[in-house]
Amino acid sequence: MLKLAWKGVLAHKLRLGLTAIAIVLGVAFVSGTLVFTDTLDRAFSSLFDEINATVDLYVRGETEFSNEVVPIPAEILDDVKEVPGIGNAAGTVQGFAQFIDAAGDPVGGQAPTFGFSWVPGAEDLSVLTIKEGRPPAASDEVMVDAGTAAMNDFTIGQEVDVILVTGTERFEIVGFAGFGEEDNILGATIAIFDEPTAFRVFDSPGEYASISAVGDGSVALETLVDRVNDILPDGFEAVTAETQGEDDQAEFQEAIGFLNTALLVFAGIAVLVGGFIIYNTFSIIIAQRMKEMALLRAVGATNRQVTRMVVVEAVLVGLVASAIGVVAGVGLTWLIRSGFDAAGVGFPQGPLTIRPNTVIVGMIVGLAVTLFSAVIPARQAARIPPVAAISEATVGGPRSLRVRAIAASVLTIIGALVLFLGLFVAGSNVLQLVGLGAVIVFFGIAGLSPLIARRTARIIGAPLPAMYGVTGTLARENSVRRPRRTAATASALMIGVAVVSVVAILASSIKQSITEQITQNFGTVDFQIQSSAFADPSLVGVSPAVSEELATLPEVAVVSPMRFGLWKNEDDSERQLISVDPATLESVFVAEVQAGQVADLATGGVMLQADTAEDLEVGIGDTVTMQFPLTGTEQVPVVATFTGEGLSAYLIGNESFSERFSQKLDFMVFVNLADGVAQDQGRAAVEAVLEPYPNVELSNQAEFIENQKAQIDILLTVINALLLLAILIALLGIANTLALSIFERKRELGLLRAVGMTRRQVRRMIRWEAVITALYGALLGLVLGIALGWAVVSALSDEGLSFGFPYQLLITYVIAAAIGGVVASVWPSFRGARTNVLEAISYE
Amino acid sequence: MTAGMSTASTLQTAARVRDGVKVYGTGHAAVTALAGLSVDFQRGEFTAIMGPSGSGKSTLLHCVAGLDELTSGSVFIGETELGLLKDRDLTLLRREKVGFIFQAFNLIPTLSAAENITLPLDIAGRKPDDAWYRTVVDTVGLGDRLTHRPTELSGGQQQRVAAARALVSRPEIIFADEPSGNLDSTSAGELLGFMEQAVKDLGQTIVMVTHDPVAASYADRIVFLADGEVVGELRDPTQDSVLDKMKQLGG
Repeated sequence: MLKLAWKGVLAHKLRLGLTAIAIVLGVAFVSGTLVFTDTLDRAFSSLFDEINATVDLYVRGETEFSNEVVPIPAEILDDVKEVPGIGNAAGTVQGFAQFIDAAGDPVGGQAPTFGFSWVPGAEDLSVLTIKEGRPPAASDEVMVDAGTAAMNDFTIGQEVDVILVTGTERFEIVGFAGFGEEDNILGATIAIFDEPTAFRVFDSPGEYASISAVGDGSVALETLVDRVNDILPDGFEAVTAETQGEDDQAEFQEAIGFLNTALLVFAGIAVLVGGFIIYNTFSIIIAQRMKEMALLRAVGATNRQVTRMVVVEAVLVGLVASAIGVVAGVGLTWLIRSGFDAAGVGFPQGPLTIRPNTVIVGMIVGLAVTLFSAVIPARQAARIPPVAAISEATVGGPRSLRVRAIAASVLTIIGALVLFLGLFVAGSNVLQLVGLGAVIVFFGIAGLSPLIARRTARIIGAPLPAMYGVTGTLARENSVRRPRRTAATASALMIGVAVVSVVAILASSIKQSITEQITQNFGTVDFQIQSSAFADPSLVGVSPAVSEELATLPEVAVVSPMRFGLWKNEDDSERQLISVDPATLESVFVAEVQAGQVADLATGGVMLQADTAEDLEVGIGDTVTMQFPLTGTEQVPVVATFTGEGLSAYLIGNESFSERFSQKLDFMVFVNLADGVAQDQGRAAVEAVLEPYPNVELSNQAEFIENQKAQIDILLTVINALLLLAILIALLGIANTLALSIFERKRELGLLRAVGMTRRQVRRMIRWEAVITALYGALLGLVLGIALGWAVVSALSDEGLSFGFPYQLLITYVIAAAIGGVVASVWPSFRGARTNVLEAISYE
Repeated sequence: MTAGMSTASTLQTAARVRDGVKVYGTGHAAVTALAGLSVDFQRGEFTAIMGPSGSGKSTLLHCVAGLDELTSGSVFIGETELGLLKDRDLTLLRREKVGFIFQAFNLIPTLSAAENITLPLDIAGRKPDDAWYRTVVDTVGLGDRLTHRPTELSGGQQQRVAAARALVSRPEIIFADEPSGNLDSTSAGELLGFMEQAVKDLGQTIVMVTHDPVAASYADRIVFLADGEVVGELRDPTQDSVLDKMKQLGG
């Protein structure tokens, strides 16, 4: 049987080859993602090892917050140096610093823009290395990482403007630095100042971000760590370099893990779509080999042997395709890295990390999908009776659709229930439940789809006979003659279009909500200032120097800066908050205060959105347990509740924010002009202040809305790019099914050619068949996507999301699907038009 | 139109082959199917082509019908030399001037009997001549089965639909390749009778390849082939005369 299976594979090379492409693409996505993240992971792990090799221990704050640094008072460094057994210790100052290039544009911003201090005489204790030139030694000198220098043509001796929390200042570049061996880390820019300058420009006088130390070799490391811990005040701890390395690594892995999961979700969609293609191809090939299977049965093969033969064929195809997929995934990663390098983003050099796991996972995914998809076709094969070998009629026609209808309906309902549970009931694992529910619904609808395929496709193809006469009639009829096949082919595209539509609806809903919120809640604002980079709000922002300067302008009446911070609740999970200026909040944020006084925020309390207060069952005078990076756990009194959207559910005052967080940049600054100042006059005055800060942008309300929408569009584009592969696989499926059907209809095509159908007409007929199939899949996907999107938006309506219907975009998707169908039909229609009339009509 | 010979005799000729040679393959594997034969098919005549397997009768039919190309020599349908035509013109010629009846798989399964009959006209975007269409359909005698799909028709009915399709566009010439090969004798008789009637009553020209003496006896004229050459001819054949001639040629 193995021999037969192998021959079966060889005999259907082309057809199985197209199937294999679906597997190859899916597996390549999966293994490429793994190689990509593993390579990053290992590069950083070796970087951390390298850094920590010369350090024995670190002093750090006890609480860990993402992107928040707990400052260590300089006195602690002096105390640590005094601990017996310490050979040397050094503190590093860290803060925000962003270069401005020769064109006046900010450098970086999407990736972090870090500033560090240089510690003379303690190079071993620092991450930083000198690549060229010398370290900064004066208050007007700066060192830049070699990668950023190369990208921006910075030269030693050149003067450069640097945006800092204290304002924009000019420095002379005196050297290029490396981050360990690397010139640059993932596009992050690094500015290095001498220590006094760093204290000043990072606005953290006498505060270190970290202290590193080495022993003098007189005592064991554990003893040394204990000794340092003994002298540290509360809230700080000493750990070995190894522990610090592991923690850094873990933190990095968490960030990478998120990327990994996100990419794998998209890879999963591609694999799912691929599964439909494989299932369909095997079904078709088996239908076409009915005689062969029946003959095997007639000469004594048991139905189990026939099943096994098909399964073994699937295994062979799966193995080969998965192996190619894994290799392609590695190639893909290599390409991506080259792309990063070309874009000047420092992707760690060195070999790509290909763990055994990557190969195993890739192979298992490819094999499992192939096998799983081939199970039903294999069972179909086993049901072929031996008599089919000699009988002319097609044996084993469509089985009862009733069983199928019931099973598929049940599946759809179960999927819908799981979705409902995830969206409206479950508090945790929401994404998993929604994902699972959606996948089950996909299978259910795919199962139901043959029942409506014929009718729907006829409706879609209704105009064709009028347009192209009998060519159109034939195209329409061909697309419905095998409803199961059409449905399975269309299902692959359905999934792709459904996901794309959900994303489009979500994006549109978010945009609409943004518009509503901004006009409703920020309607009184004249101008708004925000980072022009769409990045982590902890890492970018507006220098507070901007607000200070704006406040001095006669044209300006109100300046209201806000900051963004992450705190932890009692369950130790991170939540967002916004800090506001209590005195000016109500002149920029139109919210209905339900209870309490906004002014009381100045006392260090929290103002809650009414729904949140209700969920937490707290009112004015009650307290909320909040953990902050600098002050630790506090019982924060609730001073006010409000209704309104657009900021955060938790608002605190700016003053208490500075005590609780080390973040020094404003997230947003709202500006209202003084009475009688014209918009353009006011704008000119504000813009003059912003001139040294190209990293921020000024917008009025309309521009603000547009900016926010543009950011959503960027996200939409990225997600669509990641979904493109799934769509491509689905279109490949259409091409594949079509090619197989053409092969089946060789005689028919020959006959049509014989009675006078031109090649052009044949191509047109096949093209429209593809378009009908594509449109059927796209419309199913659209309906499903709209339903899913509506459900998700409804579930999020508590968060202030309202349903936005991007009909133009959705229509574009459907048209794109039809065009995709045309593209998919190019090769099959070419083949079909080339059908040799004689071969097709001759018979033995 | 090519500048062909326009003698009185060619006016009577629906199709003709001159020095037709067809060789399949090259070198040692080369097989000569037609060895330079010439033959004329007269207008309004029912011609049968007979010969043993491998005599080249099917190849001849395919080449005259414009489904295959000669290695050398020339084929004319009316005054048009097929060898000079590109694929598109050849297709249009088949559509306009030629009708086909094959041994099997004559009908498009997704179209009804009626739609199959008008298929060549529909492909060309032409309307059938109503009176003629009714004549043809009446002659075929399908009655209420016209709206049925081919799978719902018997083998004989399917072949009669194919014949009606060949007739409805009033082609210059109809080529039939073993049209009754898959039919029982009653159905075969009905089909062949219908073809005979088309020639006599409607003035059609039909060229039919067959190896069945009974089928051939319906023809006005039989051309015998062997080894790619014309080896004999018979006018107004009967079953007996056909068998005699076959014996004579075989012996």
